[in-house]
Amino acid sequence: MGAGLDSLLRIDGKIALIADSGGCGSIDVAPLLAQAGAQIILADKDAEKTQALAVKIGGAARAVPTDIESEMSVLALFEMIRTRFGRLDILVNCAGLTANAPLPETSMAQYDEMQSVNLRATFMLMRESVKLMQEGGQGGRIVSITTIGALHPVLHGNVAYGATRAGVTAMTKSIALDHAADGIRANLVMPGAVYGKTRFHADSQARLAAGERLTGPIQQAGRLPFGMGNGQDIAAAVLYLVGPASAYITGQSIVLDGGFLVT
Amino acid sequence: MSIAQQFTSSADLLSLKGKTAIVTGAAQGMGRGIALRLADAGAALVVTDIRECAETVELITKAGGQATSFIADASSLNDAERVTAEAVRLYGGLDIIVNNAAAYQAAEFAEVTEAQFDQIVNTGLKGVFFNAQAAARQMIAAGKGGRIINIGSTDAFLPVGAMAHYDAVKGGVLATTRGMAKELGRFGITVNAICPGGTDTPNARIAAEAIMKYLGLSNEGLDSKPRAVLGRPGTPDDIGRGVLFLASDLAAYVTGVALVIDGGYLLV
Repeated sequence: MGAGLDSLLRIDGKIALIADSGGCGSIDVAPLLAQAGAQIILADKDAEKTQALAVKIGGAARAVPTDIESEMSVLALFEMIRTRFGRLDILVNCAGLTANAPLPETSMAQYDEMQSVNLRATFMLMRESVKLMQEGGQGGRIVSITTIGALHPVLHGNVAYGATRAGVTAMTKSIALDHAADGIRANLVMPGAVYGKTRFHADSQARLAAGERLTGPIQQAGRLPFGMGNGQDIAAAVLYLVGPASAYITGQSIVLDGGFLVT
Repeated sequence: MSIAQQFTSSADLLSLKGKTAIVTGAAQGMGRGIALRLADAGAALVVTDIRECAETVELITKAGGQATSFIADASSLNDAERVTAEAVRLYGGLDIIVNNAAAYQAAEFAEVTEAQFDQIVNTGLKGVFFNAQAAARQMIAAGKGGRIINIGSTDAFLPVGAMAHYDAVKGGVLATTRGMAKELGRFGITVNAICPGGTDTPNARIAAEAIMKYLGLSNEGLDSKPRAVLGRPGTPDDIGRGVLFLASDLAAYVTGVALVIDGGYLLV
């Protein structure tokens, strides 16, 4: 027994782009995908952190300093991938920015920054990935890590944040529909209470430093029967969705909330 | 230690070595596909159906796995308790139950009889409820957590037609899955559902033919171009692989969800 088991999660030789934006969403995802056999391209504007992660992973990873909010930078990234590898098999969107603030105090600058990272950058990365996956002719896998806040409010002050994340759900379903014929599957991972995976806007960090506390449904007693999640829970779901085990799943999401939505 | 550090082979992440699993409705089709995957991952299997599961057991044991079968009616509380007790007696515990058994019979809404309704509800909803209950009692008493996986359907979201009674069952399965998840989380038991779309099984072929007839469509059934955007019907193994994910360490933080495995059927 077990003869077929090993192959269910293997992604040997697949070219996987793991995109982030100064956050740490990629920290757990990249090593696990590398272990499963993928060649990893780490794209993040934080060159130092990204290089350190690439070194930690070893020969299977390379860091490509990229500002995913800049179209020029994203196009340069894909030109490099096209030239070096000639194809792309996997895209994982790990970036996320939250400027948690009550609606009356949310500035349009904060709104624009969240929209730029969470929705616009994700759109560009998916558009360029689909083009390269079409050129390669071997299909592809797209997984975006967003939040259960796209389904249900988790914290107060997430009016704009939740909306920018929910937009990715609509994009994912449309890509799954439009590009199934190209052999491309697109799915979502929606974490709940997982510390430190979404970057906090400087304004939010300042509010927290000044003693303000995050409040909301997730802090009610009994809402987390399985406690806080961790980055490895997210990485595990991503691995499942990019590998052969999930071959018949597209346009779907895996909620990783330890029971928050049923309590 | 991170998952990546533990990861010597991908089989480790999916391994169910030392676990015991019950799969109901496992004589053929989807239940068999699920049982084969769990056995391949190293679990000892107890497979049940209202008829002999000898072929399923043979496939598992020939491949080197462990399996025992019982004739059991999913809608019977006595049978649910008996099967749970047998799993514990044979293999020393119970870690996973997959409530797959369900009945379906296409009928126009205006024509559904009380007997048809009762049969479909008894097998598909009452059966899921009380088989999960028997398993949960054992898991709570053993104090080691567990996994309950209930098979729903895309019919809970989008009716296929001529199956309004079955739609009610599958909607009920999703609601009770969430109810169980809410209560059992504190015991370390996760409860999730899988919602298959059109899946090529012997019973689905019979049902598809009847549905096509009732809807006045040409009788191409599962052989026609599927609505699923991935361009093929699902297979029992597609569902088996999803069940394995939910039963494995990979999904330790997943509870109360419905994982849709439909090849994009719901996108169209």
